[in-house]
Amino acid sequence: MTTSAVKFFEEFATPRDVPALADVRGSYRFDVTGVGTWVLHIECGKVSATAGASEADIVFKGDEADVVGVLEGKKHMLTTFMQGRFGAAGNLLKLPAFFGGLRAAGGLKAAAQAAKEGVS
Amino acid sequence: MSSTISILEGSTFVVSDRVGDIEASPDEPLGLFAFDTRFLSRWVLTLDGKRPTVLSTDDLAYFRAQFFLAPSGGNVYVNSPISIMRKRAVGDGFHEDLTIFNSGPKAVDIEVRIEAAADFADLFEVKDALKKKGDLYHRLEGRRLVLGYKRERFVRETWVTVSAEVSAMDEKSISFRAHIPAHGEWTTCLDVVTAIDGALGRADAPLTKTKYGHGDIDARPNGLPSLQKWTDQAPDLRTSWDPMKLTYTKSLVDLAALRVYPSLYPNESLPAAGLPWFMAVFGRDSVITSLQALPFASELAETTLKLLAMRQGTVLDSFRDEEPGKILHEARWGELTAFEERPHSPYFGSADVTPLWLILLDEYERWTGDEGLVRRLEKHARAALRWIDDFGDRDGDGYVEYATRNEETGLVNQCWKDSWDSICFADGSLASLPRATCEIQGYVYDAKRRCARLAREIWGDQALADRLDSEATSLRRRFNDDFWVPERGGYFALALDGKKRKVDAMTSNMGHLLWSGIADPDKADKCVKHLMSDRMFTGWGIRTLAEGEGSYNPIGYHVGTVWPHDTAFVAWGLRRYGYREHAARLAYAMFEAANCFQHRLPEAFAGYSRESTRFPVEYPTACSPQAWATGAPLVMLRVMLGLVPVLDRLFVDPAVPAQIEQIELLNIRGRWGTVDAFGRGRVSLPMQKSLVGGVDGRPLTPEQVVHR
Repeated sequence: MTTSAVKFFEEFATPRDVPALADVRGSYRFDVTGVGTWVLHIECGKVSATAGASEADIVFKGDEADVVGVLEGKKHMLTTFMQGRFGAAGNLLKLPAFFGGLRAAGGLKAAAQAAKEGVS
Repeated sequence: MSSTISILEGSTFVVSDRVGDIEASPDEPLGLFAFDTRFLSRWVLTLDGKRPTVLSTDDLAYFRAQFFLAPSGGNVYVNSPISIMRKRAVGDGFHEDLTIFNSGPKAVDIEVRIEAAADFADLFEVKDALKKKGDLYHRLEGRRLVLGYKRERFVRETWVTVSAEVSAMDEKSISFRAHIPAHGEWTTCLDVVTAIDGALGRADAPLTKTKYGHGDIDARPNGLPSLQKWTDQAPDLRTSWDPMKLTYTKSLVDLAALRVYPSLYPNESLPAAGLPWFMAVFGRDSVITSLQALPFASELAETTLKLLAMRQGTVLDSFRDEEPGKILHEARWGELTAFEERPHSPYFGSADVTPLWLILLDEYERWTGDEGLVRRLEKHARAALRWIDDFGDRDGDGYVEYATRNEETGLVNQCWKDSWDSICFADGSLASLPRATCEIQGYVYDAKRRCARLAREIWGDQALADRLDSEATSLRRRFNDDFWVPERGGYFALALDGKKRKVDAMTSNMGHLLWSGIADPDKADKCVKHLMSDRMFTGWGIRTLAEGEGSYNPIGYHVGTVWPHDTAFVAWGLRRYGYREHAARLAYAMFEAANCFQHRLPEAFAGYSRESTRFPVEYPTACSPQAWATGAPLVMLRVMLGLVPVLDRLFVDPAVPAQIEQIELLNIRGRWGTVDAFGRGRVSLPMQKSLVGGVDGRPLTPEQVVHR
């Protein structure tokens, strides 16, 4: 079954430009409960995703709706976390720029789409 | 004497009565608090069903206290052979050693009982008496009582674990049957853990034990130097005037106590705002306190700068009053914030913090020479500068003004005087929104001047430097016209209101204009006359609002009280403009006031005249310790010694009151290595309060004093 998380991360199977994350560098792993694990690799505005568990700077854990909601910019990362819906462990210094960029761009997919269409 | 005892460690604190008990009520905010949540609302000790009475109480260190008690019901003719000692240390909950002594010749059997309850109130609920939306529960696990609260997946638990044999336990209490032999004792440890599964950075390591255990007496700041080392690293103050020495020592210890350890930098610290309501990161408080503490503990400024930069605003978010480049106002972790019933995740409702952060960045480099941090934060500084022009100035009139976009839970006043009635006209009527308060324009002026220097000397951007200098010059020229009130001898208006009318209340804010250097010298001179007049100077400090103004109230939070940090800014500004004697007078008065408050200045005290009260009168709900009040004596020391960092040297130009005889501040660390500053008491302070007139030394221009 193709879930929203699977679809979301598959869109980044090939690297995509996300200019809003130009200042971000790191690997971000998402353990999506009952669905799977992906790692987002971000290098100065280039974002790609690989399936499966591997080492990462920071590891997030949460349900599909919460993980996708945060990545799409529809949920606030910190309050989702504070509600106990979203775990984060690892190098927390990698967090602010990543989620700040996500929020500023209106979500990862929207930002990638905007970049593809040449919208700044 | 205070009726409560407060001990704290990071953002965890316990407020109890003098017996050590906790009985929370809407008007008694007692409890064990962590992460902005009350984890214990009841903690009451009884012996054979009766509550003991207090013999003495000591808060031995900021994180521990001990309570000596005796059974109640005795009288002067009957001495009980029983006495009780409670030793408590706070950190990730608290550890308590309870010992009962029997001094009598016969063994005794006593039923010892601890009543415990937790309401898990968010700090905002404590203040506003709101009803909980989740469910309370409990578990009994051997010698552990677990009190819990759950709302969806938001879970908070209090684990109470005891070491002694338990005779009975239920959801409200733990009981012991203590058999104490003649001349013997009975003891138990009580561990109270504030258990949070998944506190930031601890998703894989839930908090399950208290920081301190049985017999711990030394503070262990997270990865930081011990309290002893902290005080040892600060400059050594030597003076024959004991009140100054005692206040200085108390300030250093309170600064250490008020440190919080941010999740992003767990082995560093920055100042929280104050106990009890504000043990959290507040942008304004952390920046101002770090500024005050720069000559004494510059590491606070480094963490403050970094943390606030990392959490700088990135989007337009009306709920949080967030805008790109804006520096945060307040960050909270409680339930109401988690469920977005309050906007503090974080909240950005401050219009002054962003320029103040820029000022701190420059001042930090002047003291430490840490160009690396200034380079690393260049992008954030540029974003902050853009915020000033693009968002702070909402209507393009060249001034930063504020009005919340969150009308339900946002702050009405987004300046340091943030109470509802603080921004008013001389007749007492409230100013309309948006409000451009004068001190914010001063901060913007100073921030642009300082960032021009950083751009020129460190960022290598001459064009930016020129633009910022030009903007600052223009702002100063316009400000001195637009905010000047020529009536009543001339002074600066408190603000421009939403209709661009001058809000003509006479306030202490004009002292901040001297500190920032935006005031023209001739206008500064007129302001000094007002500030040192009987209407504003109580003899202890500067009133927030001049006596006789429409809203004046000596116990009005921002409309007549004296705030030590505010007076310190006034003194700092006086010094900047060359009013050395006036600055020395304020500094001396503030140390005298501190002497009346057991050497710990409160957040604010009443604005009654010294002549009428002879001692400073407490403000009823003032925070204490409060960070920027703790920093005020440090500024006053700096002011009296005339410490100004210039390139790789520290200039010392003392103006010390004759009453103090001598001040030696040794081992002042900075980009110069370490230097000592000496000042002899040569400034004669007249007995009368007003010093205006007959002052030697002409005012310096702001450029002469600070901007190099």
